[in-house]
Amino acid sequence: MNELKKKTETLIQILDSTKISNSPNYTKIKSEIKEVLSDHSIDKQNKRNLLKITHTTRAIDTSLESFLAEHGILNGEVSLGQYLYKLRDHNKNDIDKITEAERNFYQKNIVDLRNSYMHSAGKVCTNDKEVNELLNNMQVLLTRVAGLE
Amino acid sequence: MTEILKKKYRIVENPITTDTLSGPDILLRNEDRLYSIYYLKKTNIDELEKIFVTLAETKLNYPAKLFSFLVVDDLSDYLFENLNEKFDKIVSINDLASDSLFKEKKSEDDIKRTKLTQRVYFENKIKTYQKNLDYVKNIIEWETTFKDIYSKYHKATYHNWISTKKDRKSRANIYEVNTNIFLGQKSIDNKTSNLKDIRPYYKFALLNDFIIENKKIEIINLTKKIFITDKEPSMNIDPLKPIRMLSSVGWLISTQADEENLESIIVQES
Repeated sequence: MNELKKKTETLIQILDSTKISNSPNYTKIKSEIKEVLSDHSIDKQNKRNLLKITHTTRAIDTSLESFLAEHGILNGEVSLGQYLYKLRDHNKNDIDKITEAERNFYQKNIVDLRNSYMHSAGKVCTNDKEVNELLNNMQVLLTRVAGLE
Repeated sequence: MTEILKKKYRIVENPITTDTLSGPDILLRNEDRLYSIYYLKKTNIDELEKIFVTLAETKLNYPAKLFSFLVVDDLSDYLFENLNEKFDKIVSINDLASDSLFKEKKSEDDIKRTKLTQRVYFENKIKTYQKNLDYVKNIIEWETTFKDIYSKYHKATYHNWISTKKDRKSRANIYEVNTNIFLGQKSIDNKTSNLKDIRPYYKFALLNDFIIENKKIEIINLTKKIFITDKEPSMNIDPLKPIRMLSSVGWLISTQADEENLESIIVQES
């Protein structure tokens, strides 16, 4: 729990220093990130993991949308997969891009995986290792996006 | 001192991220500026290597604008010159009270240069991680006996960023096939943390493949490294962290401790 708390504090500290923090949605993004801490104390494994995925998903989707909007490169994209393409393809000089290898990794290990949890009725979240890694990869992506500024 | 900083700024002590092993002592934010603070308590070689590893992984994984302070009370001229090359600024503990300190910024050129390094680093790390995840998933049985395949190779040496020569010998089982290919061998011990098990391999790769010059991290050579082990390295709280950390610095995991298979991996990776 302490490690999770520390990770959360670190992530928020990094995001606080980015333009994402200028977004009107930033308070909500931070709340979603912090919710994962209270999800962690839920006893039922399936419910605990599902809520963790939900809160992190909301945080990441809105963070990436806010990042693109704050940098003036959001142009009708509405999904995480589309945001990733935009992070790879934009032509803004003052922010860096992700590579195709990264986009592909995040698509496979975040977008596809979390979609399978979020959109399939009956899909159970009892594989702690897989869920843990999904959440980790989401945090890696958020830190990476913060570093593109 | 931490209490004074806490009153003025938002700080995180001992920050943790998913893809770093240690991190600075303090991560401080002042408006949109980010600062990492490192305390150097001893100036022996082991401590210096430790702090270089932490600095390198932070420069690779945290936003490129992160400005680094080394807090130290007394340094020889030689060490000052050397460390001043690596950290953005060397200060004494009393300097931390100065407001002007946390207005310092990295230059746009430095940020741009670091981002370029980060882009190559992230690409390599993600490709290696995916390869390792696929590899580990498909292993039916880990080979538990290591063969002596190293007698024909020399123990790897590395440049520790302080001496002028590449003269530090790794204490871990790391052997040099050639300047571009290294073999590591480690029996994973359940009694110690697997992160502790992999730490020397992680350190070797960071110090060997990267360098910090003019306060910027640069890639010397992303070498091929094969980590031969008898079990999937793991940990309870974050099961894939050891593999993630090894992958981040280019170690490919292998159970195939026989010469024929290793040779084929070496050829594939060359």
